[in-house]
Amino acid sequence: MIERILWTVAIATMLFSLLFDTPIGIAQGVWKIILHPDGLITDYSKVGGFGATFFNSGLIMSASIIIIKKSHATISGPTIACVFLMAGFSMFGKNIANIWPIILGVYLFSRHQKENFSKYVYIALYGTALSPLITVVALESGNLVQKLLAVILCGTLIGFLLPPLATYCLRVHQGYNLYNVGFAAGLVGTLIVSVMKSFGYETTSSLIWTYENDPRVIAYIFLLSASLMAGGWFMLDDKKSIRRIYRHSGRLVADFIILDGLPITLFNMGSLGIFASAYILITGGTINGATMGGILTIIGFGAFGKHLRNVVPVIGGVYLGSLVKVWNIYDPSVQLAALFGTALAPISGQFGWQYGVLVGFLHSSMALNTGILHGGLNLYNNGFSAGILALIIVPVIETFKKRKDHF
Amino acid sequence: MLFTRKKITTIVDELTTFFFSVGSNDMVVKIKQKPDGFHIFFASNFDIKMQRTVEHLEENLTRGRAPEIEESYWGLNGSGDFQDENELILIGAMIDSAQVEICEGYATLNLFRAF
Repeated sequence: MIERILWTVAIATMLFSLLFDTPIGIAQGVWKIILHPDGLITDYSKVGGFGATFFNSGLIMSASIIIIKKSHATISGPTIACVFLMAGFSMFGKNIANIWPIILGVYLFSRHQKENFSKYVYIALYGTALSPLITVVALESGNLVQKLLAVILCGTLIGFLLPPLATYCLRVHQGYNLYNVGFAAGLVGTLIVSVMKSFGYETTSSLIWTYENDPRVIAYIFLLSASLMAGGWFMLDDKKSIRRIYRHSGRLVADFIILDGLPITLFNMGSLGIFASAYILITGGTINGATMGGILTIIGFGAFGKHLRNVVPVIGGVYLGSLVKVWNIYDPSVQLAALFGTALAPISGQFGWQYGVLVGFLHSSMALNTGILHGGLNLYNNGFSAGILALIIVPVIETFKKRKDHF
Repeated sequence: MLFTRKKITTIVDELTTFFFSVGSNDMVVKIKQKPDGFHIFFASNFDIKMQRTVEHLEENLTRGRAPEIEESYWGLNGSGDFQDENELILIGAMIDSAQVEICEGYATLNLFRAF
């Protein structure tokens, strides 16, 4: 059933692209996307048009489902989170060309360790956060053979660094950062970019962003969210049981499919999608490739840790911050900080809404300053900053919170 | 197989954390390495008021092994206080079988993890 839902969304997303462009136009747009540098923030809807963006997203979503399925991994909450995240980031940074070297790198790592690739399938897919690095390496290299060798080498390096680091990073934030691989990828990206800089590579920040709202795009995201909600609602016998999901802190590993079943999870995913989309529109933002990436990621993690109770305080914290800080709530980076800051939702779910507001408030400041470390080449910059913030905040909260048990 | 023994220690760590959270003050752990894998025996008392929480153990430990979850998240085992039943899902993803017996404030667990 889960697999069927994922395929439906993937195919619908690809078909939806035809509302924006002709097949030839879409193909040309995808080609433009492939050849364009992908560092943060590169909204693909501005580079190749919405037609190509939707098609690229659906295509990568399909590829992700096939990879997970072929690896014989269990299809559950983490699968949904991972596939939706891949779909989301395929609207601003991942494309059908730049993801493969990293997936190959993690595959080679699994062979080297004499392990089955299925064990590392999620790390491989999440690890494509560093895909913009692959594009940079490809664009900077000489002829086709050199390009191929360079990207395979780079992908292999990332593939060998990420799995052990991702496991280690979990211990640092204790599962309170839902984008754990984003944290690890940020560290790897910082290391690689620092070395590249010492050999003369210069990082440039980019802001390619669609500022106009398109009713068709808004319709897509609301239709998707409403369909998930309705699907969950009609599958559910006891409607009151929907509230059960809110008792979870959301800390890793909160697989809502296992804990509360598919109907409640679908309803949760849909309600999160509607909330996140409404937030962007109400605060004067734009539903474009990048923000849609954030919304799709939130929807996906509605099966793996996020629900309205733990997400709303964090977004509220980002909003409150924008009232007193030097930027506006509708600035591109701040819109993304609000959406992706929900990586810290488990802090809110575990320690209370006031801590959620606090981390949201702090997160926007952190996220807007960590990008420089990896030159914007880690797409999960918010996951990186969320990891650092969780590392600072969680031990402090745990030390000072009132404990029933003084041991 | 990477970190096999380390993973066994984290399973025991997480179970210890769990039983402390349900009021235990008397635990017994026995780990046996056999040709087919590791057998973990864990016995503990608990506060009778926490019976319902402990009863979730079997459900969460017998969901079947999930290598992709294990490899991505095993580092979390034993980190922090026990907060939520979902933390037991991780142990469930790391073992092949579990037998849980609960009676009158005492639980006995027999877990098996194949190589």
